[in-house]
Amino acid sequence: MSVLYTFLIIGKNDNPLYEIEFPSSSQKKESTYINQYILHSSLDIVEEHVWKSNNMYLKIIDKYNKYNISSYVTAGQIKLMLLHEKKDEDPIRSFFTEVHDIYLKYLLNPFYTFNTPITSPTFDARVRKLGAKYFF
Amino acid sequence: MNNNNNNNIYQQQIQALQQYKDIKHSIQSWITPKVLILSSPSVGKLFQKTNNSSLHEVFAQYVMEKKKANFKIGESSYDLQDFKVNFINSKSLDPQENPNLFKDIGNTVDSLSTDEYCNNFKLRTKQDIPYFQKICPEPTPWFDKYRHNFIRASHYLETETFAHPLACIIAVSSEDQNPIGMLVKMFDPAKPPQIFQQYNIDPNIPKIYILVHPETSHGESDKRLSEMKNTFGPTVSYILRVNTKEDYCGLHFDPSTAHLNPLTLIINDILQKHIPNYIERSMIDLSENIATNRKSFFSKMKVSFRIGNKKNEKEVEQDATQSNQVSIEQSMRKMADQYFLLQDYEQALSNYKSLVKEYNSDKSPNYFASVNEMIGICNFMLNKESESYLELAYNNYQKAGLNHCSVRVAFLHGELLKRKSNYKALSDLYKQTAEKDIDPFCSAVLWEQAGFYLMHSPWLLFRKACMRIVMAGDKYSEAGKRKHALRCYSFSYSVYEGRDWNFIDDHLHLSLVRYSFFQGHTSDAILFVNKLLEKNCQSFQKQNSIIREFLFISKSYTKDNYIGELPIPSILNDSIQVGLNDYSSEASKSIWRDMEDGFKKEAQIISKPQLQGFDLWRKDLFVEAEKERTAVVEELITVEVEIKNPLQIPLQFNRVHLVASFKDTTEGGTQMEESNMSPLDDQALEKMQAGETPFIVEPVDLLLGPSETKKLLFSIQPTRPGLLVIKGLGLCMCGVIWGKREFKLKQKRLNKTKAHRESVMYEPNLSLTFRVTSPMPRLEVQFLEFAQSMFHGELRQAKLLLKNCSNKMGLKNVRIRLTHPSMVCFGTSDQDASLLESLDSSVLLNISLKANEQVTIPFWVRAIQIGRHQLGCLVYYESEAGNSDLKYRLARCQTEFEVKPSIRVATFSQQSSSDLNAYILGIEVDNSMIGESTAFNLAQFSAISKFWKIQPLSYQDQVPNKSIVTIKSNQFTNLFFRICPNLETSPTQQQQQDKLSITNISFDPSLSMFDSSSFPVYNFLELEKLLINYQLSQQQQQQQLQQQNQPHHHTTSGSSLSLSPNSQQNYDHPNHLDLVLFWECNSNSGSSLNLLSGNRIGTLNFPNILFLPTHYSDSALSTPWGSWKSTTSPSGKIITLIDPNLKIQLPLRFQLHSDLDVNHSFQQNPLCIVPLKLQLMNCSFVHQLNLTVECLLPHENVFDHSSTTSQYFWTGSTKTTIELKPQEIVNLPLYVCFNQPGVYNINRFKLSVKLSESSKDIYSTVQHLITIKDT
Repeated sequence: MSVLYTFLIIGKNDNPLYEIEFPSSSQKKESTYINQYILHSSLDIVEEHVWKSNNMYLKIIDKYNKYNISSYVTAGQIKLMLLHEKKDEDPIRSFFTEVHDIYLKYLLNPFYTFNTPITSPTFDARVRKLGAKYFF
Repeated sequence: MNNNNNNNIYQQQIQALQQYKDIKHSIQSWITPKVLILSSPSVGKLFQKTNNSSLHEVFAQYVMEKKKANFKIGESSYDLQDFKVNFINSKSLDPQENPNLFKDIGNTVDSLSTDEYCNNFKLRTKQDIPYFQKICPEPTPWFDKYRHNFIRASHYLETETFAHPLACIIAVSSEDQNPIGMLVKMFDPAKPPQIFQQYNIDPNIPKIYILVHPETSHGESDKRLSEMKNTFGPTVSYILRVNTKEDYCGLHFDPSTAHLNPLTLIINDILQKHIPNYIERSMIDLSENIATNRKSFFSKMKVSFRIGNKKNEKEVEQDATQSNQVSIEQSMRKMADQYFLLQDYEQALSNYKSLVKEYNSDKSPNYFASVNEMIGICNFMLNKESESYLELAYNNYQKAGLNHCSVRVAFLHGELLKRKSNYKALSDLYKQTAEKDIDPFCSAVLWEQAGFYLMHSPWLLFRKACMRIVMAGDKYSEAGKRKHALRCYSFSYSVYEGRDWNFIDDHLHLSLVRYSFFQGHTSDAILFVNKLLEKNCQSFQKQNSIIREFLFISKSYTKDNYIGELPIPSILNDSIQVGLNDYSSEASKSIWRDMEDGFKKEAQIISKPQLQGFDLWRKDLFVEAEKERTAVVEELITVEVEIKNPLQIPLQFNRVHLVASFKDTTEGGTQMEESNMSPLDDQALEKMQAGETPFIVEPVDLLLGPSETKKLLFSIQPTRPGLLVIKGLGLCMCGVIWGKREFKLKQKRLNKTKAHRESVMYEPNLSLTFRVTSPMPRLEVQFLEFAQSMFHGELRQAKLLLKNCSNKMGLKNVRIRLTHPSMVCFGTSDQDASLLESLDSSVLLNISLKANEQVTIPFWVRAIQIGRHQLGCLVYYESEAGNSDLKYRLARCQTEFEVKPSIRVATFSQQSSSDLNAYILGIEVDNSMIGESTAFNLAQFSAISKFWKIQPLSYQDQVPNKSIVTIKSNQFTNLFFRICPNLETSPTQQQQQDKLSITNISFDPSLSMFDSSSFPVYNFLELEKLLINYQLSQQQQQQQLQQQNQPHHHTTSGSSLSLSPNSQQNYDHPNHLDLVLFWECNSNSGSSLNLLSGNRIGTLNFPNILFLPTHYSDSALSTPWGSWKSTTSPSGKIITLIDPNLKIQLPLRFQLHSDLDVNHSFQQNPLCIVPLKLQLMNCSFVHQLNLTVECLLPHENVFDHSSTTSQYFWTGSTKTTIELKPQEIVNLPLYVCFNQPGVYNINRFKLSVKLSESSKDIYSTVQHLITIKDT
């Protein structure tokens, strides 16, 4: 079984803006809904941690059984959340930073409204590329 | 009373629950001596028969009371104030039965489960939690009881001895064959039951033998008893007489009579004799056993240290296999447990503490855990620190895989954490336990607790809490506790609601649908099905299964297969259109509305009040309330709806029909409301067709493909007068389940009164509400023989068919309104014509139709506007019988036609220079249709005026060449006419004002003349004039509006020229005439639609051609009449460069008359005096003119150096004042004097006309040349 990563961008009202799973081929719907519950419940911990640190990258903030949840909170209180099994911080940190970069660029798009779901295929392709770069 | 009772019961319940809160109580009820009851099958049957109970349940009733017991162990003695035993049967000892046991424990708290944690509470944010905790301090009242029952029932035979029975009751029935033998067989100390051997349970426990003797049995009970006493001893043999007719065989526990009950005796014996004796004896045995073994034990230990671990293990194994005899550890354990039973916790603790050294966490985690647990519990009972032991126990139980024991430890540990308010650790502990493989209900309870304790933590981790509650829901559903599951899901739903977590939403919605249905909350279920399918983001397989499940559940959980509101298909509410005979549909409303309003006015059904003065301030009170529409009995009401399948799977709907409710509002009628919101099965269909229902609907079968939208037309036919409200669609989904979809119409938000503004209120939308009225005639209208294509100006005949479709009622008072009123004249001749008086009135046809009669009305159409047109015809009629609800009805018909351009005409008028009272009229006819081969023949030219007539100028009596009146494509023809006064009628003769003089000039004498003064030509001319007037008045209004809007007023120069806003004096001067040009064409080409291959005729009307005197010297008075202007307006717009409303500003014409060639001998007379005649005419028919004629000085000589002069001089009177009466012509003699021959232009005179306010100077601009020759 391959290592699973679930990446979510969550907006200000706890609403998911973007979701992706690595590797994307896995078709296990059952685990997906649990993953969403796990990431959603970790938002509590993010809220707790975000005021304790000056960094955007909050490292692993929560655990659910074998899963670890890492988070990265942007200045606009957009939360990047990653559910992962392996505990390797460096690629995750780089991944978050680069996704943040893409996200900021996407935010400059006049047709995109802040805090709404991201539907751009370009954005999706870039995140996929980053995922492939850091996690496999 | 009842309330009080309820309150009391409630209070009792609360008290009962209070006792479960104390965990010490739970521990004590767990650690209680057990008495095993073995009963023969016939005894079991006996109790089974009476109340579905068993002997051990009957016994269990008798342990409620506190019993005293006295023990003597060694030197110390124990007095227990409330000594209890638990009666168990062999089943409950069997580990195989554990799952059932847990299930039973779960069921014990069923009565406490609630639908909601808290009414009307929605958790959205962190801030909601404190409020929730305030209003709902105890969301899970069943937890304590569950915990109590769980701890009480839990046992683990291998490591602990609490479950080991300390006594055994063996019961047989006197009906059994050989009861004594059976008693012996059932428990043989040498060969105890399997379970005793397996877990080293001491078989030498006291045994109590009972003979159950039913009253009906005839066995000799006393004899048997004495036999038993002989065999087993007198102290342990009992007889139990039972009454099989009563509940619990007459052994039901009753506190008042309990002391008389034989069972009480048996139990007291057990509690006070048998068990204490056994314990005392076994304690002595155990301590001896320990003492003898200890020595060998220590020597073993030494050996093991020497040899090493491997050997040790083997030896231990050997030990274990060797000793079916009780090992030292087990003895120590048993002793400790028995101290605990005797509530001597200190003694027990010291025993446990010495025992714990024997075990080690790696090799026997279960024993290790169990002892640690007991140390922890002892410490807890002694109020000492116990957490670390419990933790150790918990971890080791986990290690050993004893999940249920770990749950018990978790409960105990949790209680300690709760006392310390360490909620987060508590929650995590429960969560961790719940995740293990344990009984689902237990797991659910733990998840739930884990959730709620998280909310108590200082960070208010509500998201995590909700996730845990969802998990609890999952587990509850696994355990089959639907009520609990629904509560969990619906509580957490608010946190995720509307936040677009697709998978979470799907999961929650699906669960909510299921459990809402199971709990009978159908409307909630529908709501969630809607939400589930709303996003349409599932795969089609999943949708298929959702629909299947929905159908299955709804079929099995609804009455009569009727579900109420269905989730699908979606109805596009904006698309709903009602078709009703008397009302226009939404789409074509704009065409008909004005005409309908017109009829309303005529019929004097004016619902809007007239506002005046101060009423305007309260305008909103007078706004007409929208009324429901009126439908007629037995006439179809059609509703057009668009239906969409939102899913990716095809859906089938049967018998889709309109759902409506009907209320009989007639006087004396039943005020009952009837509706067809029930399955439209065959029975209902029959009933409907038999006419028992107040309305009839038409069912349609429907198959909607994935994401397909269909437009459907439904109909409903009311059969009785009353109030009919169409609610929606009724349908049978996939042939399984009946339901309805309601229409949700847009409603206006009310905003008129204060109450409206403060709250959100909506006006009822009445578009689907109908007042059904008694039968009325129904008229159908149709255009017949209406030409599809016409040339501009063409005249055609057509027919209108009126048909009364009712077979009972007659109709009368037929009136017609048209969208193009100026295009149609009803009738065939002057006699039967029905004429329009003004554009906004209707045409009254003198027609009444009996039932089933029909009539055709001929009419003329004249195409007056180029383009495609929709001619709408609205027919008004009344019932002969009269109807108070519906005074009149309207029928509609419309047709489409095209008007193509034909010839265009430009006119020109000018004053004649030869005749003071004559004018020139020029017309230029132009066939502008390039590429069309149609040639137009001008047939006749008519002038209609009161005072004027025309004469051809271009030719004499006959047209010299036919070609000038046949105009082919792209050709022009100019024709000139002279306008001269009609001598027969003089404008001064007032009595003849009304009579019109008509001049007809035919271009083809072979053809008979058209009568332009009769129907329909004249009428069309009048209509066109009406139209122009109407358009002009609108233009004026617009101009006025514009002027009002302009801040600066442009004052027009020359006040006399300013437009008079009062248009009443239209054409108050008579200098105008109406012209009609008749054309013919023979066109077969160009339009295949043309059915009539014969001649087509048309008329072009040019109303109000003006001809006015003009004076070019003054810009204000020089009006450009003289130029050509196009007078036909194919587009329908008026092309008037000059406003025809202009009055004659200066109704004066003048002309000089004299000899033009004068021979004069200058030698004889150096001065040549020529008489001139200045003819002055007042053109006005009304006004008098005052004017002064002044002869001016000649021009200065152009050449100063020339000795001669080319000037002429006036002689005689050079200034005359003249008064001109209307239409008067005055000849003024003037004399001019020349002093040398030459050609002179005599125009040096000035006319000063006094107008009302100012005077105007007019100079002649016309050359009048006189040639003077010297002879």
